Amino acid sequence: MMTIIKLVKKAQKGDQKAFLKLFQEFEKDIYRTAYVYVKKQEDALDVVQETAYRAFKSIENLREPKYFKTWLIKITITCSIDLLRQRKRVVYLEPEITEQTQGEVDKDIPLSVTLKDLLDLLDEPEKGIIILRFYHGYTIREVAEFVELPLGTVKTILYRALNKLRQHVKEDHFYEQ
Amino acid sequence: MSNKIKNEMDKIQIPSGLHERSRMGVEQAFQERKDNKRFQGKRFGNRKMLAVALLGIFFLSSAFFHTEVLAAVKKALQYIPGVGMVQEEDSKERYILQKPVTTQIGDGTLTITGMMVDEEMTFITVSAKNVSRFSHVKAVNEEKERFKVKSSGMSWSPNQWTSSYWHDGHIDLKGDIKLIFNSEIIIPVTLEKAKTYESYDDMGEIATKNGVQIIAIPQRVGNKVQISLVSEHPEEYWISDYGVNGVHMREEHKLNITDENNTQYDIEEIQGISAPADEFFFSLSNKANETYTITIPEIDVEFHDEGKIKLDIPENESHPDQTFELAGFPVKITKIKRLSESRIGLYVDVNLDETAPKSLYNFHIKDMGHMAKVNEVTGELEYLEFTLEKPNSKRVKLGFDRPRVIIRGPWTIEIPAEKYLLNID
Repeated sequence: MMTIIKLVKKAQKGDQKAFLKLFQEFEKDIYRTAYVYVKKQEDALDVVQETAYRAFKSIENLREPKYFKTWLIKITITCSIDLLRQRKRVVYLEPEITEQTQGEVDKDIPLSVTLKDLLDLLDEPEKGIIILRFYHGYTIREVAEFVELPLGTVKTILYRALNKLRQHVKEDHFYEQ
Repeated sequence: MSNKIKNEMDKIQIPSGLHERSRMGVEQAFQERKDNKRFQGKRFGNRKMLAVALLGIFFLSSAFFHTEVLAAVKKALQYIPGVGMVQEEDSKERYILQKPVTTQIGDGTLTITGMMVDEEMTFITVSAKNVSRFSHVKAVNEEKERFKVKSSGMSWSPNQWTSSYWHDGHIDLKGDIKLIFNSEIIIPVTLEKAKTYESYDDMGEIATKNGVQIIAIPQRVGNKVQISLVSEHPEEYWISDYGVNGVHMREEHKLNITDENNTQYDIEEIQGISAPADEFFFSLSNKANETYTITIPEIDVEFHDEGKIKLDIPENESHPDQTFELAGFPVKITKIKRLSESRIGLYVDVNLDETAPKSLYNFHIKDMGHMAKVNEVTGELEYLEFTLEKPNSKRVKLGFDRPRVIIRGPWTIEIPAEKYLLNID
């Protein structure tokens, strides 16, 4: 963590090498996050490049260096959605909330959920929340802060996404314990 | 509970070019930070401004000027097709590609649109359709020495892309050379010494209107004419569109080309999507002594200006009738609507004037993602929607930037074939 903070401070003074070292620490995560949105290797690479560009241009805006990764992921998701818009693929920005949910939403991720399911079944808000929760490991509360939505809304979207994935799974009675 | 979703995402293969693409993005940002140039243009694109920054190309800045004054000023001017105008006190020796070279590759095409070599750098611009992108190009000189030139910027749309390749420092390239992409695509090109001019008058034909001077530089390429547009204007804005397709799709105000009989000629754009589209072709007529007229009815410019406003957010909606200024134009907020605890709708009136020499028609909210609605006919901004940083806020401070203004002409430029187009390749 101390290294990240030092490198961020150097990058904020314009040190290109420091920024690149930082960025390349997370570039695989950035690529995979982008890929889930844009679904094509070349487009995901474009998102990575654009994220690197936007991030270095605006690194001074990062007030808390310890949140560097979170900040990068935000830029990645924005870039991904921008690219989808530019390619004129349908982008749902406003999650449709039809129900609220209480209780736990983390349990029972389908055993045989596939990458294809993630790519094809979920809309953009659902992808974002699933990726933040399960790939980047944020708590639901942290996810809610990240996406600037109420906690209840985030739970609803998460529940809906998991439901979609669950319904698509072929019969399988074995659950990991 | 294991994380099956993480496991699945970890299966996404990492391509070999990932590192390089990160480096390219950082390099582009670094160059812009170094030159303190504000990057403008389309998202995921328009790296042409990077090319301009790299070459130190700049435009004369003056509030107003006259053709006679410009012609009288002594300077060393070189025009590099596919790249832009260079102005220096003393001209440098440069080798350039005079005309674009297009190669068929499978179902696609790749065009070397420009190339420049001097003691400080090598710069190549490429555009392609239905061809994979390349992170570098190898240049081979007459002595069979090979040099690798890396991509310095790229812009793209679904099936086409443009890229610039840049090497810092001198490379011995002149005369007949080869450019090699992906070890398979070999393109022979000839680099010639760039001509130096003392004034824009010597390079092409000029028209001036409303503080903007547009120079059309013609060149014959086979049976077609290549026109390159260069402009001189105040520093407070940059030109984003000469209206090759009509500014903001206003087709009735498109750039057009006619001859003495008023016959219209179809414009064929150079491949690529970087703004502004300022190089295009049209086919020569059968008449040897034709004079072609290029008419540019209006252009689209983006000002380097910002505005701000503080707004009270109502419970439901209000009509504040507040005004702020942007690029010297008044903008009125006519209505604010609270759509949810965080989501706000803003109705704006930019007072688009179809008869004025200049008129604001669009802008952005600064540093904030937002949606916008424009009038489908006029292109003027009518509505913005954004999310409050803090839900249920009763007051918000908004910054606005990237004001887009239409500057009206027309710029009418005559190109006599006798003067520019008679020599056959």
